[in-house]
Amino acid sequence: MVEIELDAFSGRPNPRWSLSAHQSAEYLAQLRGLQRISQVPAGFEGLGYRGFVVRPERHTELDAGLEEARHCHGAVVVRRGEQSEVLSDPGRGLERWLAESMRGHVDESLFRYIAEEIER
Amino acid sequence: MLAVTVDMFSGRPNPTLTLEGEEAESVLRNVAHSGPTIAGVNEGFQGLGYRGLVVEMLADDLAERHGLPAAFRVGHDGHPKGLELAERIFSSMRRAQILDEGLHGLLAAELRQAGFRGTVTEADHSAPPAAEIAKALPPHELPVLRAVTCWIELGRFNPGFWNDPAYINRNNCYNYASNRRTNTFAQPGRATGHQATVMACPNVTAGALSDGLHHRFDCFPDSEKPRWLMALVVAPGYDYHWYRKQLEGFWGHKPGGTAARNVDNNGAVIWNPETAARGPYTNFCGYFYACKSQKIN
Repeated sequence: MVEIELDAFSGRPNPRWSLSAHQSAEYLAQLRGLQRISQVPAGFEGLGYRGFVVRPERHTELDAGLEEARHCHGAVVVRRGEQSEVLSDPGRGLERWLAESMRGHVDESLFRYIAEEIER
Repeated sequence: MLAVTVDMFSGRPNPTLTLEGEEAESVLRNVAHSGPTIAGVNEGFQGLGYRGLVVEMLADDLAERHGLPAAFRVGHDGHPKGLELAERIFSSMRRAQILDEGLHGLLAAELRQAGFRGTVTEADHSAPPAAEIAKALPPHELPVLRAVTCWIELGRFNPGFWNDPAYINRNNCYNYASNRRTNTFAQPGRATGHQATVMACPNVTAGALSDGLHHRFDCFPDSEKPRWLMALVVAPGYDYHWYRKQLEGFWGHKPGGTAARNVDNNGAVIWNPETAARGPYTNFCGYFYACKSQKIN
């Protein structure tokens, strides 16, 4: 099982929710399919949508030691222990998939705002 | 076991007090729970005179048990809880005859100065009423519209204090703007039982006023130093954000668990939070003063 954090808030804590076992396996399979790239993304650290952070709630064989995957603007920074690598998320497909998983966990207006930010 | 050193001398060795058992535990509980700001041993004011207390754990279980670093500086930045702790340590040193009466008096005076080191007090003037408004009012109502001058403090921009990996995720914009590193991701009104649940200017404002903040130009006396100037904005329906005016004239802020900075979403230095690029935080709610007696959690 993995936990998702929507990194978009400043004052209030970021919303977090858990994926089901089935969704978690699907996410990890998609993550494994992404290609490694060499350039480190600049990222965005201002006010508003900054991306999604995925962390396993408890480790399984499927996550291969994943500690954190930070998704933003078509790139994923994956950290496993002391190691980190950058993956390309073409067309922001996996980021959109994570946005879809927000349904039912955040209100509709916030959902629409995040979806629009990803489509920009 | 704990060693507490008063960092103050240049030539002579600094006085050190060793605390054991409940005395040591009590100091650490005080630091961990009452919220004085702590810094790395090499951080903070490094000039001549009182520079704070350096606390070093002398047993390997203490740091983890209290969630504190093995060595840190406290009572160095004017935080009232830090200054209280420093006064307590000075008294213990005096009783243990580590400090003589003269040095104890000197330290007490230094401590009062430390409360305001790195900050400057400045006048904050309101605009006078527009001439046409003043003309339209009966004379007895004019005094309420007179320009107001309040005194405020401005501190140097010090992002390193907030961006340390041990603290960056545990403090938010309200912590930064209040200049209180509580490590609780503080919420307006939570400390006083009036936390806003609706994300709109009146609701977040009510929480902040409940914590003890004042609207701008509702002056605080000198006894409430430091009186930081803060600005509140809201992303309607889902969040709020705060800024604090800095000594350099620009505004600093800390978006959630990200790094403290003095630039907006366009990378421009923030000289005016009303016109800064703020993403979805489209509603400007107004300016406020923080104060020494502010409750924050």
